[in-house]
Amino acid sequence: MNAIVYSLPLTLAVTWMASLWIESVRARPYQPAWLAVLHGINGLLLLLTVVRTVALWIERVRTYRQEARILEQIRAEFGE
Amino acid sequence: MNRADSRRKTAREFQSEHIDWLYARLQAITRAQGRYLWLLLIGGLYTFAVHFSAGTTLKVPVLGLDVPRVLVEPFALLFLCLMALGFFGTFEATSFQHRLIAFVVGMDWRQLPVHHIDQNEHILDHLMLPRASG
Repeated sequence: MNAIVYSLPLTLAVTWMASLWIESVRARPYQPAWLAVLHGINGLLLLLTVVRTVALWIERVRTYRQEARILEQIRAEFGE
Repeated sequence: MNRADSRRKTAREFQSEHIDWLYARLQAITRAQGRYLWLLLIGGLYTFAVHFSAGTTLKVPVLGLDVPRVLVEPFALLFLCLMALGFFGTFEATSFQHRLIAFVVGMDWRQLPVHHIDQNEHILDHLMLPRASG
């Protein structure tokens, strides 16, 4: 649950960014034309951001599992 | 002791003497992490408001300029992407610094949770506090 709560605001922000980019792609042709370059750069950076967000999700889930295991060990050793 | 071991020992001794440097750097990284996150979230809210507002030009805060709407969103998105990547970059930097500190103090990094030595919590850390204290 904590992994979800931790990553949710960031995921929402990235989803919003992705929807902005998709809308901009749908609004072609770009005026002025050089905006196409900017949208291309944005697409590349956005792809990296999405990859990093997925990596963050995986890392958070792994971390919380690890912490839960350590907590269990401490509880087993010292009691509640 | 071979040359590599000797070099490693010297490096470790140097780092042990300057653990406060490593600690200060960790704090600087986590401070930057919080700032990147705030800029990302506030920037996201700004673009959200801009997206659903009317008019062909938009007033850009801080700069005080009237900018055509078609230019604002791509540049705002570029800014948001850079803030997000900066935020993720601080995660890696924090992880490296945390493991370095754990190594220097002679601990396994898994036994030294980063939130025990991080003085600069950001908003996402606060979302988890109820579980941590409960």
